[in-house]
Order: sequence, then C-alpha cells, then structure tokens
Amino acid sequence: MATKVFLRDFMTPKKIRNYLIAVVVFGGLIFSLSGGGESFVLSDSAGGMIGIGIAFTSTAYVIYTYSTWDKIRLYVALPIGKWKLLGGYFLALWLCTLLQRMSFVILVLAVFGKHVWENVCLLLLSSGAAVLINIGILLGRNAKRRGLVFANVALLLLLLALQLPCFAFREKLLFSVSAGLAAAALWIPCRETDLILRHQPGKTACRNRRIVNYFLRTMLAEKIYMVNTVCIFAFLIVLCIAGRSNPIMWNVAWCVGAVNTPLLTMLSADVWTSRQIVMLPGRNNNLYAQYAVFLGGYFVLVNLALVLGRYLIVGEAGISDFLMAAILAAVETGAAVFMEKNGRITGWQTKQELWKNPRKYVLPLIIFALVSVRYLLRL
Amino acid sequence: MLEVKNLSVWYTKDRPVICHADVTLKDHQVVGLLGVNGAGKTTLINTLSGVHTEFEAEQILQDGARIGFSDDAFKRRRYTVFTEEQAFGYWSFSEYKKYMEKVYQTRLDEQYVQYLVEGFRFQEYREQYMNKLSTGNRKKVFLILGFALRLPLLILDEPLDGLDFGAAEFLYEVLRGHKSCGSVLMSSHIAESIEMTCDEVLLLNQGVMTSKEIQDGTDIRKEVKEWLRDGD
Repeated sequence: MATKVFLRDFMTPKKIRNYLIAVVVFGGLIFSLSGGGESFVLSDSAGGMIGIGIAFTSTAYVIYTYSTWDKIRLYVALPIGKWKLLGGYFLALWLCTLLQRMSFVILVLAVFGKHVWENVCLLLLSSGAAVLINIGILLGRNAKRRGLVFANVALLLLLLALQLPCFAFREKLLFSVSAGLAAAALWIPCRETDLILRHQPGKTACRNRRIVNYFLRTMLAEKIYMVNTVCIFAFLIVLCIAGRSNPIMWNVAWCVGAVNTPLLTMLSADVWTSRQIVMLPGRNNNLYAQYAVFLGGYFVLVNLALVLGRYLIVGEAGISDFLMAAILAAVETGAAVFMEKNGRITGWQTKQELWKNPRKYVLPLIIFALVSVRYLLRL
Repeated sequence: MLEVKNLSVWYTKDRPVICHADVTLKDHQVVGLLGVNGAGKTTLINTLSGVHTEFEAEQILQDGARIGFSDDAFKRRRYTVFTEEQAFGYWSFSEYKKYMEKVYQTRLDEQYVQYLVEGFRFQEYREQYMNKLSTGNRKKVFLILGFALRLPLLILDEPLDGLDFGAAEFLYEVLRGHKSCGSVLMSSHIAESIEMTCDEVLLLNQGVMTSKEIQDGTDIRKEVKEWLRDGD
C-alpha cells in the first residue's frame, strides 16, 4: 500500500505506457543500429558502475525535490508503520528508476555487453543499493546526524570501488547485496525522527535580502539550482579540455550551457508565481524582464567562460568569438523567456519529470544550428 | 460593475462545469458565491481572473464597456486572492507590496496598510519570507494587499480558509468597509461569513447559476438548504 501511495506521485498509467513504448522503440533502434557486429563492447564492470551512477544521480534529484512537498507530511501521518512507509518509498523510487532509466541501460547491456545476465543482475542490485544509500543520506540530514550522512557517502564510494574489474562477478554481487543491507541498517538510528521523509529546505534564503532579482534570489536559496549550474560549468571545462581543436566538440560545448533545465524552467516549476503573473496586469509586470535579466546574466557568464576556455586551451579567441558569445546569449535568453511565457510546461508530477521534458532540447538544437552555420561559413 | 452573459466554462468541452450562466456584480456590493464541493466556484473565480481560459461568453461588460477577462484594462481594475497561494516565496510582504505598487501603478495608502496589518495581527511578519509563513499568515499577505489596492473589484476565493478567529472577525469588518470603494465577489463555505457581509448570493448548483438577494435577518443556513433543494 505504501508503495502505491508514492508510485501514484511518480507515475500515471499513461506515463508507464509511454515509457514502455519508448523502451520498445529504443530497443528496436539499437538492435538495428548495432547490426550484430562487435564494434563496441562494454566492459564487465559496466553493469554495476552504471547502475550505481544512474540510480544515485537520478533518485537524488527526486528525493531532494519531492521530499520538500507538503504532501509528505500527510503520508507520514497515515496509519502506516514508519518502516513500511520507508520501504514503500524505497520500492517506489527503485521501480521508477528501473522503468525510467534502467530499462534503457539493460537494453544497451544486452546489445553491447559481454556477460549480459551477470551485468543485468549487478545493475539491478547495485541500483537498489544506491537508492537505499540515497534515502539514508536524506534521513541522516533530516535527523541532523552528520555521521550518518558521511557513513552513507562512504558506503557509496566503497560500493563504487568494489565494482572495479579486479573483483569477480560473485564478489561484486555479494558486495552490492551487503551494501544494500548496510544502507538499510543505517536507517535504524533515524527511525524516531518525525521528519522521516521530509527534507527541510535550507535556511540560507534570509541572507540574500539585498538581491533584488527574484530569480537570482531563488537560485541562491535553492541548492538544486546552484549544484546543477556548478555541474554545467565543470562539464564545460571537461569539454574544453577534451575538445581542443575538434570543432564538433566546441559546437557541443556551446550547447551545454543551454541545457541548464532547472534555470530554464523556473516559472514552470513555480506554478503559484506563474498563476500570479497571469492574474496580474501585464503592462507594468516586470517579472519576465527580471527573468530575462537573470537568464541573460547566466548565459553571458557561461558563454564568456567558454571563450576564455578556448583562449586558455587552444590559444585562439578573437573578437568574432566574443561577438558569437554575445549573440548566442541574446538568442538563448530571448528563446528561453519566450518558451516560458508561451509554452510553460504543465502537468508534471515531480521536478525531475519537469526537467526531463523534451522542451529542454529545443534551445540546444537552436544553438547547435547557429554555431554550425558559423563553422560552415568559415570552411 | 461587471456583467457576464451566457457564460459556459469547461475542462472538457462536452462536460461543462458552468452552463450558460449570467453573472452580474453590482457596484459597491459584496456578493457571495455559494455551491457544494465541486460545483465550480473556484473554476468561475479562475475564469474571472484570467487564469482559466476554457470558456465562452456571449458578452462581458465592465461599466458598460466590452472587455475580456485577460484584458489589461480589466486586470488593472481587479485583484484576486486565491484559496491556496504560495507565490513569491522568496519575497517578504514589504517586497510584494512594492511589486504590487509597480504592477498597479499606484501608491498604497500607508495608513490604511498599517490599519490592515494591525487588524490582521501581521506586524511581526512583514519582513519574513513568505515561504516561511504559516498558511494563515501567507493568506493575510494577499488579503491585506487585495484590500489596500482599493480596486473596483476584489475577488476572494475562500478567504476564511486558514484564518484564526480574530482575523476572521476583522475580515468581516474590512469586507463591509470595502463597499465604499468597490465590489467584492467572495466564495465561502461558511454561512456566517455570507450572513455578516453579503448583499447578494450567487448560487452555483450543477452548472447552473442563480442569484438571491440577502435580506436583513435572513437565516442563511435554512435558505441555502432550500436553494440547493430547488436547484435539484
């Protein structure tokens, strides 16, 4: 019953059907593209590593955003034992991860992996352990027990290390099961907390009073926006280094800044503020202007960082690059605000679902087209 | 003040929530909106507020001039307090007030704002972020500013939800006082609030709207039961 309660928040029958269709289509595509050849083979340790990586990162987003919802308080008040509730929460998260993420990875493993069954087993078990660890981190934070948070993080790192190729399949399997059990055991010290699932948003918000821009203030107050932005900058640095003189990589790098979906869907994510914007008179309502200024600032920073990276790594950055950065920032800002104004995403159940909406690909595609035109003109 | 003829509202067009209703709000009156759960009160309020756009109306007139619910001219003359509101969580009351002054191009009467703040016992929360406020205090932010704007039309969806006893009493007082500057459309499930403040009631029952005058000394509980029975 507890699993059903949470599953209803994560899934609808329509979404399950759509995912199943997507899995079938994806399976057909990669089977036909692989052509039966062995041009690309995944290593033996891939299943465990991928399982942990994807399950941990994808559920981290869901846990962080979903657990701040008021409805969690109602669930905690239900006449369901805390262990049952926690178990249900874990099962619901794991089932969602299996359907939304792992099903695709299993197909990739089936086509490109060597030891398919072993890899799939590892994938399932290690992803379960990763979800258990993730919930453990949430519980540790809610109970304000840093030691438990560190213990869970250490367990995650250990689990990752034990998936290295130097260990045999059976050992890896045993490690994954043990890690899962250890993570569940780490829940025990938190069992008394009333905030068993509810994560309290940080109290950092009051420090940002001098910031006038509402969206900048929101970004600084909600860690998820900051974390995502920092990750994008880190990824840009990696791309700059890997790209060097490869124009395709540089073109991709220009697009990376445009996939900061949490920032680009801030109004879709805040249904209450969106409703106020619609209700209030539009002529002097400067909220879209504030959003444009905020996004403009972000895009200018990202694009300038890229030009700087190009200068530092390849040693070439001219006026045309700065001009390109400025033009792209203007296009990105205009397009992003236009989409939020005229095509706001509605009907999402979790923030992760909102951020996964296919609309996220529109802006990078526009940018890729623009930078490709520039590259072709140069040729 | 506002006259809407032949209004139909729907989520799926073949199953309208409100069918061919006429809504008339007279000047300087408090009009109650009554109906059982799911009757369409919030949908009607969302439609009048420009938030719900699945509707058609033969004619919408404000002071005799044709308007649309999403027209800026209409929006500048009305404000809505929704039943559940969590907007602008990272603003305080004072910041939202400044924003309202900018949006409505007006300077709020500080004395009146202060009177409302004190009446609703909100003084100590003025500078707190709205996402840190309780449900009732958050509601007070929007009620205070709704009244302080002194617009010709104020729309309130379940304004008593979340308010404590003292705040509810003060709300009745302010509602009666607001008639001097404009009209109020207020949905409510609480008979007392209708009895104490409303001049007229719009009854929404199975998609059909009927208007009833409220006379002094009317026993609203008895009347509502009869109206609902008549509607069935």
